Amino acid sequence: MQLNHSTSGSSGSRKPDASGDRRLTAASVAGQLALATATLLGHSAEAADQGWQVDSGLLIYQEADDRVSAVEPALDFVRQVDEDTSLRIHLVYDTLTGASPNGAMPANKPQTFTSASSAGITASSYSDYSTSAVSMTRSSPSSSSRTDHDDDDDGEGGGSTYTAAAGERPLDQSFEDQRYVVGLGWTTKLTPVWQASVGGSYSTESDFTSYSVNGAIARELNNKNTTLSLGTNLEYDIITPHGGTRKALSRYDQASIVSEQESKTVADLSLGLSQVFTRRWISRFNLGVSHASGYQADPYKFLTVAADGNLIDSIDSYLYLYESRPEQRTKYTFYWQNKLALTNDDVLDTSWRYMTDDWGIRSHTADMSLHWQLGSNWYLKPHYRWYRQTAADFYKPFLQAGSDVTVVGQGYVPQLKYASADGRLGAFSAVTTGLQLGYQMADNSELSIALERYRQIDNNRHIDVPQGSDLSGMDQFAETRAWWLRARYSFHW
Amino acid sequence: MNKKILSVVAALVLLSQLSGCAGVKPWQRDLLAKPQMSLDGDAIIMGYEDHTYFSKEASSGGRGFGGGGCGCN
Repeated sequence: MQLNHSTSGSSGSRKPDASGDRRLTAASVAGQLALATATLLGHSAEAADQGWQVDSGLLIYQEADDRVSAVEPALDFVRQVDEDTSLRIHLVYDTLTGASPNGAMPANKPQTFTSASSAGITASSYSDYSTSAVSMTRSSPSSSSRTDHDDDDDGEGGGSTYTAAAGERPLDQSFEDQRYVVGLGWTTKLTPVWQASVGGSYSTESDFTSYSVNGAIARELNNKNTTLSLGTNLEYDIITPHGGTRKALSRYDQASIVSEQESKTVADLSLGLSQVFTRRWISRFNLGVSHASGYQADPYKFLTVAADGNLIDSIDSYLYLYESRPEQRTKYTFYWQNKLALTNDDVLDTSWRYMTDDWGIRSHTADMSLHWQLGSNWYLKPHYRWYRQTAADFYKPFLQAGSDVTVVGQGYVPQLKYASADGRLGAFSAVTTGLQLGYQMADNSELSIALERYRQIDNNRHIDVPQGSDLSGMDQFAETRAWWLRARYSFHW
Repeated sequence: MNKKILSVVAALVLLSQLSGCAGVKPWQRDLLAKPQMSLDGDAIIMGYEDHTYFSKEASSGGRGFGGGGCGCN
């Protein structure tokens, strides 16, 4: 049995105690000969198995309404160093473009904003963001702030501002980034029943860098029918928002920059139990606790402030305030997964996850897929996932003058400490449906392609606004709809 | 919250003890050895799922320590 604890499934798909059997049924004749020779010579199958097991993938992701699109190739290499030890290398490249809700409410009149990257330039000292990977097509945002810089680096056409028409949700069009991830993992058997793993990961994008280390131990019991495991993951993130970090609840058009860089640490602890119940049924239970400390706000998101449903005139725009989130978050997760062999080849995979945190969010995730073997090579895998979360205590689609913010003339005083209109903190359900088609080749390599569709459903309690006001009849939550195509090819190299 | 967690841990330990009596013998592991019965699944696909949902929802992890290393949330 394998260690359960890993970052993004870093333990791979190998089952050391099962891989020998799998090869016997699927390996080539040459492979079987090598295996037989190794066995005769007294070596294990794994020791005889040199080379890399390569898992390669490509994800093409697209959100509806021209929001985010992404392309994400990934490579995963596993090498059996000796019969007890394996090494894993994980590489991901991720490129994103598109538009993302900026947090402001749609209204019955047009609203004009400065894009996130340019907003930083106008509001802070200009520190060569032109070379940043996130520079969008921006030109002459605010001449006053750019007078001491040349404009050679400006994109062609386009402007630093964007306008959401009446009734349209304000989307920042400047969302563009590349992410690189490198992960390393090392797993070894300490004794016939104890296994340990350590690993690390580095990822970077233009405004975010993450370092993490993880370690886990596992103990097999009951004739390998039970595995208990304990794992930990420590992560340190550096956030360098374009234009610096805005002061929480500061005015959008007069943003106060408080720092160029913020950080966050995340510590995870997970206790796992996997159990073989019958020849056809294996189960896994995980209990996890995670504590995040540090900057956890979205530096580019803000909230509309409305008085009786009407936008409020501010100095250079309507009144919007940058969001504010607590610096501490502790969440608890319970996960239960079952694999049930319905026939000798068809396997039902079901799982349920419950999460609760001290921000007031509770969520349930139910996931089901069926590996349906169509013949000796082909299989189909229908997939259904249902998700539901409650809103964070401080989630608000917009702030109300009077109760949330006191507005006097051009001044304002927030009456709350935390507020965010980020839909990811709102109450919603989401359904994913998908279908994967796979082809297993005789040499143990496999090709699969999957198409999936995701749709959120708003579950938030709507705030009443007077008929005829700016926010009257407007959607208060931006439901995300997306589809993705995922290809995977795994082979021995 | 702590009471809830303690009771779940107790239930898991009890479950592991109970199931110890039954036990599937090594020669009965033919189906468990098939790749589609592996609890860990495909690393690449799990990575994609963790990243995709982490960027849209407030929950992450459970199966592993998914979700880290991304500024998308």
